[in-house]
Amino acid sequence: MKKSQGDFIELTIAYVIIFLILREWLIPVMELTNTSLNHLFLVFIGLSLVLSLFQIHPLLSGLVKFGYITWFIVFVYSESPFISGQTLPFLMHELKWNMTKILSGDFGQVSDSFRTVLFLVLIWMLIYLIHHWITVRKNIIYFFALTVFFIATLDTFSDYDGKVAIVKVIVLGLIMTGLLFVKRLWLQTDAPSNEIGKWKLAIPMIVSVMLVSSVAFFLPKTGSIWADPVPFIKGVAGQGNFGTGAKKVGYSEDDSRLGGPFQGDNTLIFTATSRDRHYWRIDTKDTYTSKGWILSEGNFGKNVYQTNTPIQTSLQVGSPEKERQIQIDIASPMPFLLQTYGMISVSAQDSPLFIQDERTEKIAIEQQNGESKLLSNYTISYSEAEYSMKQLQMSEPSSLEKLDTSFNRFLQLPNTLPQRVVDLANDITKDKASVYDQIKAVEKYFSSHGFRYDKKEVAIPAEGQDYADQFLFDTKVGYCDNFSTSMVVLLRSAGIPARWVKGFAPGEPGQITNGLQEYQITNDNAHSWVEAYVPGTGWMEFEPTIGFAGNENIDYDIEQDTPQQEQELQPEKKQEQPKKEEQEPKKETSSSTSYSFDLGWTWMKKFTYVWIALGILMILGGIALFMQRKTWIPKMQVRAFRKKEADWTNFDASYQVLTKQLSRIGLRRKDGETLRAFAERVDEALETGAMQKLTAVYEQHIYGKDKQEVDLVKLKESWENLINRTIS
Amino acid sequence: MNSQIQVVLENIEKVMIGKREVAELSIVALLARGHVLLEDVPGVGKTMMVRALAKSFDAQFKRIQFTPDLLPSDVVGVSIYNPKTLEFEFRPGPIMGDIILADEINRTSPKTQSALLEGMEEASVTIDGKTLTINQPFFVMATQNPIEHEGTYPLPEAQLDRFLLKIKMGYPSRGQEVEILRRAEHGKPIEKIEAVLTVAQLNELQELVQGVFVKDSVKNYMVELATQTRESSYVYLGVSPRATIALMKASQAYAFIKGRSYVTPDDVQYLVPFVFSHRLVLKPEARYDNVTAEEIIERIIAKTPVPTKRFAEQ
Repeated sequence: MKKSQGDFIELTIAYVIIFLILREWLIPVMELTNTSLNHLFLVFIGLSLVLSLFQIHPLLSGLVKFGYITWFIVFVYSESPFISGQTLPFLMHELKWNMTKILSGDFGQVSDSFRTVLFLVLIWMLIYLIHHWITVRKNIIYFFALTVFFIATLDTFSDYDGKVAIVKVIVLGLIMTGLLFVKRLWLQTDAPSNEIGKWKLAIPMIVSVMLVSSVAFFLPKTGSIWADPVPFIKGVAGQGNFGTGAKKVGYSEDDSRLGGPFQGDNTLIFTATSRDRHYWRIDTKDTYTSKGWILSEGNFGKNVYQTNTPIQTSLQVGSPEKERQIQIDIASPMPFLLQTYGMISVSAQDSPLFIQDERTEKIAIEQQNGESKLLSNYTISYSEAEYSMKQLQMSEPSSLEKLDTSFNRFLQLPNTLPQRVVDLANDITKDKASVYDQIKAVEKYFSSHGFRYDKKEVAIPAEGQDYADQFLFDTKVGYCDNFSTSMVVLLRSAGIPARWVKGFAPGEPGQITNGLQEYQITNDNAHSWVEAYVPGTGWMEFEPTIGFAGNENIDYDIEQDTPQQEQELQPEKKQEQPKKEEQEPKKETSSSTSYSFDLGWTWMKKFTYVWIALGILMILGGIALFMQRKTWIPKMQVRAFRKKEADWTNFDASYQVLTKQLSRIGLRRKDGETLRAFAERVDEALETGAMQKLTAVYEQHIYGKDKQEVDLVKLKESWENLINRTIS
Repeated sequence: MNSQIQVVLENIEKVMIGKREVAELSIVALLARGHVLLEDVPGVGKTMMVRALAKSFDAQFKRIQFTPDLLPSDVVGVSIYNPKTLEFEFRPGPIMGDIILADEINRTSPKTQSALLEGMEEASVTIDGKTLTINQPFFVMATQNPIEHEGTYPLPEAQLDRFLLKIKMGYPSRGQEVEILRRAEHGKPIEKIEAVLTVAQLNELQELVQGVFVKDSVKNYMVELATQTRESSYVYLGVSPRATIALMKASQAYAFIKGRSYVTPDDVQYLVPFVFSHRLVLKPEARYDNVTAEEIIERIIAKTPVPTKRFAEQ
């Protein structure tokens, strides 16, 4: 009696825990479906558990539950009270309606009441299952794992916040699993039932679970190491949208929240015909918010330019003798101008106006009447600026302190910027003699510190996390926005004015006519890079993104031009344009080994799915082979032994093979068991006499002194028969 | 099964119903030149067993009924003054027989016990400074009544070591007992037993037993079993190397009876309880936990790995 009472207490505790866990199931469902019937469902769960706990006769318990469901339906879906003349007709009507719909296969048309009934029946089943798990299997781990999975899934894919729920479930689940484990342990050891002993085991377990969980809950945690999977999944599924989800690559206006994966889009934007390769500058941003870029406050004017008149920008222009033209043919018209470095003027038909925003240097195209205009083609006159290395090297870091306040907006940084970013910036720039060298050091930093170009596995910073900080220290995987923003942040941290530039990369080189190269620029070429201010020289563009080549013209006018510097600078000139599908890092400056490694990695990555599929197939194949080992291994061994001669050595070996095979099918010789006893057992199990026959000879072989005359060929036959017997 | 032994066993079975195992073990001891301690209540056929065995081999049978007043000279013999020859004449005691039944050995004084046991061990007796060798076959079957303790002198452990095997007789089953009655109904069955082998043949067989081969791996196995008894937590005193020798000798004899020229671990396992159980001195804990020597040996057998490879791995 005492024992069953103890069992009852245990079961009650188990049921209370189950009730609490089931509550965590119900809450998100109710929250997401906007149902206020939470308590009614909870009552049903409680009712079912109590009925199950007291082991009420199934018929009676079923009747009670059925009654509750009926009352539930009438109470919620019918306006009239339960005990009234309306109840029966209402139920009949509901039943008839739903039965017709189901019979006609019109499942979408069933009424809410019917769905509720189904849901309640589901709970009913679940509780039956749980009862089975607790009392028979004494293992709740499946249910526990399912609950965690359920809440984690809801938390990830819906608005439901399962932060607290998951902690509760983990604590309850661990306690439950632990209690059932203690129970199992007790049953296995056949120890006399001792309630106190059981609790001696259980209570420290509960206490430690509580303690560990609470410590874990209050410990500071790092941000998520991988990206939120939802945008990625949606992106792959083709449900990409601008803003929160996966973005389609291309030029967009809003940069206030950067990050997340990109989906390729090779829509043609424009075609440029030019002698040189150009970066297509559209817009700049100056204020970094720790999540993205916005525009600074303050008053800035607008400059209006006519066609064919020189347009003033903060950038350098080359000598007039080197003036050249670019023909731009727009495929997807935009209401603003594509600028190149060294741009002098723009000519277009219908004499539009070019309105330059002084804040961003973005140039909008407008008609004379002020409405925005979409040009289908225009010509840009430019002369590429040439910089003197000598002059660049003369830009002393101390000169930065003398900059006027107009540069303040290019030195802005959010207050929340982690100190480690600043430390990193100072670390990179500390030993450089000139501002230019400092900038180049920051630019080069990315190519040699484990950074990787990727459009897919790109994280979005979590709340309270800095976009640049996350990329620089945690993820190190990203595309142009990550690299350029991080470089600007680093430069500003080092006190160098810098801004973030948006536009298009040079594009895909096409055919060459009359010495002019045609470039096709698609949405895939949308790009961002950096402009930094070098005292004494002015604003210059820099390209931190791995796999992209910058576009600078530097005069090597200094004698102390070391080979190393040359190596650093020379590749910049190369016409290295990554192909749109595989803008993977191509580190020109890194050593050849890491280059080939990268190449191999790229190749591997290209066929990721093939590799994964192959790997899974191999693992599955391996498992299948392992599971079936008792059939194929002996078959092979029989074949092998057929070829061998019937001598004592082979007889010995074949006997070992036999005992191994027998152990595979569960006939394992115990340590203290003699061969003869084992052989008797085997023969009994396999209904043969062959094992004893073989064993008698083997015994003589291993324990005897002189070999007796034995027909080994015949023995081999019975050995083979026995092996075959183990397979069938 | 060895054909000669088979004949002997069948002969014994004419009078001993359902005691084939005891007969076999007795022959094992006889062939291994050892002695047997039979532990059982009176009247289960101990004497009959020994007499049948003696008769089968055409051997001399002597019986010593041990009593508290028995003297050593009553066992080994005494020199008596012959007034005719004016010399002391030696009158051999019952120990000088071939097959001796030492009945209720624990009833006599330790002095007399040790006279017998010394003779058993050395196969010789010393009287009046003269050492007399006891002729082979020399086989003592001592019995001990485990029930009565009043007025007994239990054999010390060191003395028990002298017995190769300790065998329990046990009661016959109902059917067997009915058969015993049927045979006893008309006269004494023991009278009908005839000799099937001679003493000379027995000596020959004893020689052959010594030639039974024991592989090193099997010897290792025996030593391992003996070592385990010394390491058991319930055992105060494990078995001596003499016991290991006894195990080997007995195994050889058993293998011989079974018609084999080599010893297998099966032989060893079968004999270990009979060879070891009376040589173990258990700790008091064993009695508290209700563990017997047989159970300890059973556990040791179960956990000691049997050699199953041609070349010993141990």
